[in-house]
Amino acid sequence: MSLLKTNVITSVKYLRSFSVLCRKSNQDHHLKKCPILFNTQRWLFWERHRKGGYDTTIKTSNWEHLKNGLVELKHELKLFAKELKELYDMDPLLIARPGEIDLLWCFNSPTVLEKFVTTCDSDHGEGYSSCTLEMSPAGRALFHGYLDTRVPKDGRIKKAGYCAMRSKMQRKSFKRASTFDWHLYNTLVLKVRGDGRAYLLNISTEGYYDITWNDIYHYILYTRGGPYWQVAKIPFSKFVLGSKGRLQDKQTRMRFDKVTHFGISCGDKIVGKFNLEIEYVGLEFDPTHDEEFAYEMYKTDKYIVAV
Amino acid sequence: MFFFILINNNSNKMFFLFIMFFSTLISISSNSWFGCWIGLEINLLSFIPLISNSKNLLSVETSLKYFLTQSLASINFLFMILIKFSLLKNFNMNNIISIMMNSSLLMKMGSAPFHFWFPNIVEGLSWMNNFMLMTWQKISPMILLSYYFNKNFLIFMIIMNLIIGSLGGLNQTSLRKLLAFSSINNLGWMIFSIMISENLWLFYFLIYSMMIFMMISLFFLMNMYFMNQLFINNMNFFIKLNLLINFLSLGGLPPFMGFMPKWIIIKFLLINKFYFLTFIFMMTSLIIIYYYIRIIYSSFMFNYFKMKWMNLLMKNNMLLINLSSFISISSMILSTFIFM
Repeated sequence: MSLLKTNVITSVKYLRSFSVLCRKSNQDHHLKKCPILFNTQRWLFWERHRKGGYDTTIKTSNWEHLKNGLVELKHELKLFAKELKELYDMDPLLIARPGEIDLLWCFNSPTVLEKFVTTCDSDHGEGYSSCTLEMSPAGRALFHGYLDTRVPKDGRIKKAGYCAMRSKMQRKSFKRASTFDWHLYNTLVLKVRGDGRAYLLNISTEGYYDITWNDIYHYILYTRGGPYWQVAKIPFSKFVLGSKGRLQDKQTRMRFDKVTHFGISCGDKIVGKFNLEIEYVGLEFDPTHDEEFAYEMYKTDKYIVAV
Repeated sequence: MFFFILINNNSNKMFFLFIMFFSTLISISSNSWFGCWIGLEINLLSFIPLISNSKNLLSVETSLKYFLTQSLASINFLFMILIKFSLLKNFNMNNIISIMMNSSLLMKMGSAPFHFWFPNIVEGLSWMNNFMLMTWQKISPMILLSYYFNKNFLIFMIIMNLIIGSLGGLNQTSLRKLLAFSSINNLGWMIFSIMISENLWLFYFLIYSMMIFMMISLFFLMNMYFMNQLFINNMNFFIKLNLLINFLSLGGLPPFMGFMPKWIIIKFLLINKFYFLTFIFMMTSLIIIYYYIRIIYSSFMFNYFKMKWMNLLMKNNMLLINLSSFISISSMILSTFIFM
């Protein structure tokens, strides 16, 4: 951590000296001296926080914690009883019938919206975009807002302009973290009504160790504007692995039984309003689909390390 | 085993496999407890490169988890050996140190109540690595267990193994986890057999390894990891029959091969008057056979689609499948010709 801090301080000074140089010299000189990567160099792979250092805890007093806890206890006990009953039944879902779409979330009532969280760059002062997730006049979920690529002038942010909605972490009884189990399926189905913009579908498979905490599988969904709904069936083979937004050279298969979050984000650098109406998000098993990975990979020599 | 490695063009694995085999031999043939510990450590050291495959994120995570649990057990074992040397000057086996030593070895094997890592790790490994984990990695802890064990403690552990192995597998849809729980159950049988005699354990272990090899090679050839893959593929009738025979054999149903070692162990149980333990052995076997039968019957009844890629591979490997079916059915009968 201290290594990181010193790096930030020196490069901020570096910036100041650059701005001084800018006044005295012309643009070409500035571009030649400017390195590609500075101020965001990371010396460590280790992640201290699961959420990347952003402070997202809501501060409540101990008394409020106790009161909330007692209310939650009843709910958790009911969930636990439900889990025990499922264990006693011993009847897990063995097969996903082809042609049937098993819905994960059907957005026809406001209660489903509570399972999602919206994030945008203005939440932590890193931009000026805004977004909300609410019910649309047609009775479906509407993820809408305003995407703004203006960068706030505080010296540390280079790019801005993203809005995202993500499902909350799946929990078992007593707030134990659990995962989605999608091993029966091979296709993601979405019924959306977009506005012509491209949205990113993100499937996050956070594992146990911090190396994989930021591994997200992306797919760019191009929406048609217009009054008609579109049903997008996306096989899991089309998703590409990225970590912290950077697409990885070494692509690996998605861990279908360890999926933690599903999200949709808008970050296509076009300034303006965006609207995405969603009817449902579901899963399907398509037996005719036998593609393993949609993109071409190259066999590299053994001295190329990252692949 | 070597044939599969040669297919993958990976001669590094042969090197680590050799060290793994050798480490087990070091462990069981040493005349000091330190030698045993050294063997266990080298075993861990050589197994980790075999299972960590950097092309797959899950296997990296799995190998790290395996390393953490096994090294914890090794540290425990070493510490208990040192305490035994320094504090205890007698040969009495009914004390806390023997319990601690046995616990660390049971944790190495993945036996209940230290089994929580086992299904998790088996879920993250490929079939061949699972085969090594379920068979070879059990040898040295088992034999070390037989050198210094606490009888009452081990009998309690056997009961826990049987119950957890049978009840844990009931709600599983992943074939790997199913075989993991079956392995935990069979550990119960193996621990009892090693308390009776090492020869008996070797007999049980060899037949168990053979059965597991036949099952795992079938799943490996068909690339099956989940139960739904058994139903959606249009399998050849003989493959389904092989599955039936092998699963029932693993469950210990006569007249298949898997019945023989269980029969002999029950005989020893009754000779030594462990009546209640016999009851638990039988009942848990029934539960295990229940969930095997659930799988087999569904695979016979459901019939969905034809996947082109699977039939090609099967044409070259029908010999192995037919041979394994033949061995499973006829072993009991042929053994009477040998031993009579």
